[in-house]
Amino acid sequence: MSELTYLAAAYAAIWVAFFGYSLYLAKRLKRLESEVELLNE
Amino acid sequence: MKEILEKTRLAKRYVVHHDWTRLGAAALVLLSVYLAFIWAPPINAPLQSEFVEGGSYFASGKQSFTVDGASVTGPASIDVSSIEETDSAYVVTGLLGDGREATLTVQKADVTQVVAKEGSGGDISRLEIVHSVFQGESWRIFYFHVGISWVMALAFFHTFVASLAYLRTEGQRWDIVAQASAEIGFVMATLVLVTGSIWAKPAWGTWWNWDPRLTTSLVLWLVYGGYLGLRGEGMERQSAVYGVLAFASVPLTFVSIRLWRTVHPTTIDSSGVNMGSSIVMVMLIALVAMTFLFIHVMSLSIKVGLAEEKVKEAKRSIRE
Repeated sequence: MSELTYLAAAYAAIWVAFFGYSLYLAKRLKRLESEVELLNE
Repeated sequence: MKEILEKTRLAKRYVVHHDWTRLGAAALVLLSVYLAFIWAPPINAPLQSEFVEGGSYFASGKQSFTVDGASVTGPASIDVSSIEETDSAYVVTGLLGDGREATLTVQKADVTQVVAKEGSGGDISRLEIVHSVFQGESWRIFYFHVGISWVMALAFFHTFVASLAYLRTEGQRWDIVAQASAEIGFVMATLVLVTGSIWAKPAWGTWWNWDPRLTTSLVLWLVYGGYLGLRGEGMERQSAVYGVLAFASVPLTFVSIRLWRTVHPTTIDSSGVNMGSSIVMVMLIALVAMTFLFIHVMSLSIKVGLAEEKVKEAKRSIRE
């Protein structure tokens, strides 16, 4: 593998993890907020 | 209403105004990616090397040496048979695993620190040097590897402070902050290991070795993995004690390259910062970009924690 392939793999890992974790949190938040609304009703 | 306001006060302290954190993070990340990929040149980075007559030396994938008159690039292990000093260089001769003779020359102009011990015949029996080695394109991983290491330390420091605050006040909000920061720190610690490992393959010829920095980083990852495993209903106090004690592994990981001999690049040591000003500038911008991302993700994570708390409370009050 060329050096650029390793470079691209490392950067991809960073951004996939960042956006993946943000998405996971946003999903959890949305689910909880709808649960709160349901409980309030 | 008063209760809800109280709960959101902490989230506000972490700047939950997403418009500017998102915008700031996005702009800085784009700028640092541009600088790290396009503007910054591939660099020379410092490497600690120890040559011992009769000992073995590991030449990294970034080092060249001569075999049968031809230039060969590592990684390779050389059994050192002699170390000589000329006017302009240190010349290390030894045998490769296949029995061929290899000669590794380190120009004195590339050496920043040197400790040499003379042998009985007047030659050098032991040579410890810090010398700059050209790193190539894969070195650009460094800009974000350092950034995520910084965010990891920042997150675990939040866990430490929040755990202490929980033990003092037993306030639920501190437990939420401790969990949120530990989660982020754990994701960052995973990324530190992954990106470091990806860099190590072209540099050292292997994905992993038991170097002190790598080993302490793995221990740190396991320690906080244990912390997240420990967390659960009714475990707030135990988690807080663990969160305080676990922080000891963070400074240990950072000073490991000063406490023990390492093949990990030492960019900052007792002699100062071993990097050019352009490299430092790009690295600092990447650090700020990662800090903005941390603020954004942290605020989101705290919001999730507060919402979970609200749900628990609502369920309790319905049951009552």
